[in-house]
Amino acid sequence: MNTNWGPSTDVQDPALGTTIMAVAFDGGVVMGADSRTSTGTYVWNRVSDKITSVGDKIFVCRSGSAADTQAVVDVIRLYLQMHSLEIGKQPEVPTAANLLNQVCYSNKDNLMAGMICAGWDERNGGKVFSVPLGGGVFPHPFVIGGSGSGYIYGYVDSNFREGMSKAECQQFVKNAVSLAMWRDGSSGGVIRMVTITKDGVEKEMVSGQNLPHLAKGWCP
Amino acid sequence: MTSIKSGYDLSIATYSPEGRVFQIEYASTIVKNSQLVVGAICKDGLVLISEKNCGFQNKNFLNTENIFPINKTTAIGASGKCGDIHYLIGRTRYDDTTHREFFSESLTGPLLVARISALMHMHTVYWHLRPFGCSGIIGTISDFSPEIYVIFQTGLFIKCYGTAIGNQSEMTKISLENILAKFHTCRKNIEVISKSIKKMNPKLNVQTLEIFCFSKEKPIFSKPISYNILTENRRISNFFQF
Repeated sequence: MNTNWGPSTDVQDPALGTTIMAVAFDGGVVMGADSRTSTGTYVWNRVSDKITSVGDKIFVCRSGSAADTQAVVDVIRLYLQMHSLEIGKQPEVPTAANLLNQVCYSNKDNLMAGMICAGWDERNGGKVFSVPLGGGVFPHPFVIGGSGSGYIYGYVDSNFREGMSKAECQQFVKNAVSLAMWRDGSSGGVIRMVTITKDGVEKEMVSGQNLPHLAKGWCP
Repeated sequence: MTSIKSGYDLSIATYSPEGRVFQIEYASTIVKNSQLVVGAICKDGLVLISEKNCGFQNKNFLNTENIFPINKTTAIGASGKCGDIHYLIGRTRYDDTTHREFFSESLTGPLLVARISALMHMHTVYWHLRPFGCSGIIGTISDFSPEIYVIFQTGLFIKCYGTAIGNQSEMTKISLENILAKFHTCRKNIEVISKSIKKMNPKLNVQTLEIFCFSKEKPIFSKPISYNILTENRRISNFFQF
């Protein structure tokens, strides 16, 4: 396994430097991510956008090496556009997730990319797929990823319910990502949220002072 | 009008002064003399029917199928030279497998037909390749709706409600118009079409038809069913017609 992880090598955690999540509800998906890109201890970009579009209504949350994930997403976007030209309609989310898996698995020795692929399409509705570090496609009702995700498994496991509305999902994502940013050193900055429904894509940014402060019961 | 001996028919890369490519027209006579294949859309699905050609005097039917499933939702009924048919089917199955590997969905509908017809057309462009000696009727379920396409040797493909290729296809198409207008179910369509095939050709020297059916009762293309045309017609009709 290649251990050249970037400009600095004092990072040990393989799923490094971020918190990403996606939640599906009836009629679409809500995706959220923090905005910190770090190289070792230096924060290289405190307002980065980790949720990138690969189609009109399909987005990918990126975690891992920034260069690797950007290259992979560019390839996926190319293939999806050609595919949608051939079939004559918008691409579907399982197709995008499968393409992501093909690229990540065939190059697994050279890549470090853990991705979450989510979106809305006509046939399947809102769908969330996780494509973790070595490849594989796993459909879930919600997925969390990145180094910060380890700190919020308890929160999401106890607070996720099937059949939440769009507003409840958005609040759930905001709470979870802000809790992860509270504890994880490599997540921080602002929360970027993308909501994808049949009617379109809404992008939102929740900046520092507007973050939900769930620890306020005991911590000022 | 220039006739056959005038030398414009020696290569597929040559047009005649009237704008005809003779080689393709010669190639289409193979299909005109080959087994009949009929495809029709029914109320609850679609059906593909083909004559089983018996190449042997003793009328033993070996595994000479004319309708090939490509994946669970597509089947091609082909008429013409057997070797060309097998090559085309093998190529289509390979295309479907690689498409499923990349895009996690089967190749169906106009995408599949466009791939096959692009291949067939390519074989009519270059002087060193001969055109395919087969035509095909493709039945697919794409986006939950049944569709029938017919591909000719020139690479043209047409989407339709029902059609026929092979020997006696002109007469079959005429009777098919009346049958399709009534929009029967799959089972009824099989009976009606086979009766009209028998009526058109009283000296039919095949005893069974090969039938591929995709309907609500059995929504998967797996294996063709064999249909003894004489006994079934006898059962359906009120009095014996031979």
